[in-house]
Amino acid sequence: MKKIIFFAVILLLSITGASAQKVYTKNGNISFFSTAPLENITADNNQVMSVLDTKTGELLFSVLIKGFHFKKSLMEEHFNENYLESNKYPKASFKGNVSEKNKIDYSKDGTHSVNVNGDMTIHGVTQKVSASGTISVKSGAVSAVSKFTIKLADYNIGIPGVVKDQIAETIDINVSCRFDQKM
Amino acid sequence: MRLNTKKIILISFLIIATFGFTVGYYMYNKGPVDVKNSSGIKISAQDLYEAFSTDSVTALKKYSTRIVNVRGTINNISTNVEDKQIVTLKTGSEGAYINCVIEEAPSPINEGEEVNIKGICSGIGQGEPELGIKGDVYLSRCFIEK
Repeated sequence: MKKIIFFAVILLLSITGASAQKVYTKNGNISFFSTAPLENITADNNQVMSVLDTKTGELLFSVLIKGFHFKKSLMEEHFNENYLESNKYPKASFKGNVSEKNKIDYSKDGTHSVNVNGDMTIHGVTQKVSASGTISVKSGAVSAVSKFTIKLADYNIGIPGVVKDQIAETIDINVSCRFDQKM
Repeated sequence: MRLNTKKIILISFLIIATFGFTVGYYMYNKGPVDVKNSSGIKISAQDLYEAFSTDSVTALKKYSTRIVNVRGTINNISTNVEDKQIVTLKTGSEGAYINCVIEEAPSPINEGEEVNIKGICSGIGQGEPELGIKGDVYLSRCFIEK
């Protein structure tokens, strides 16, 4: 009898663990890439907070602008002071939903192509965005990746005339998260 | 005499232009700040978290983009999706940590060990208060010293 109860508890715990409703990470990655005539610009940030509700499909991201790091310190300084004004707007965020939430079985290993729609706030400006990506489940661990492009002008990020030819009007953004914590 | 003056002006201009170009080139290509060989602002993990959680505006002015040298106890050691080593330090507030993206660490390091971590402070994450997820204070390009 004790054995049956023991195995029942183990089974219950493993099911609960595999199908935890909300998974999150505080160390996801966002990197961006901008092609420019003088030189390409890249930066990355490993301080991305993200929460995925596996039942409702709700997806949240929040990132500190000062957590983006560049190869050159002058680029980082200009990014923070002149373009993103990170003292005034210290965070960027996204709040949206995974469209194919019902097609994903989080209790089984698999890779699923998804679309995410929601509101992205950068530089104090909120815009509707839509992006495609992938959600993977492996041994109960959930990961997500996405790649999309944004226009700097859509977020009132002005480029001074002197360097206008050196900085692209759009940048490619890569998002990558392994949701290592559950609740 | 006039020829000499012209020569002096021309040479002076060339020296200034060369100097300006060299300084500009150096500034443009200057790499990231040298965290490893900086002393940084010394503070405990508990005090740094408290500074941000009680008055984030003042704490941002004082610590953000600066090198801090934080002493604390290791809560957890892990790697993120990009295989970057992440070390969190206890702050005295359950669920909130000093979250450090590691550049270089001595081996081995263990959970529960007391260490100094030097890194660039980015600020405090907003967490997700509705879900009870507290924001961490983030450091990047970190070096661990025992």
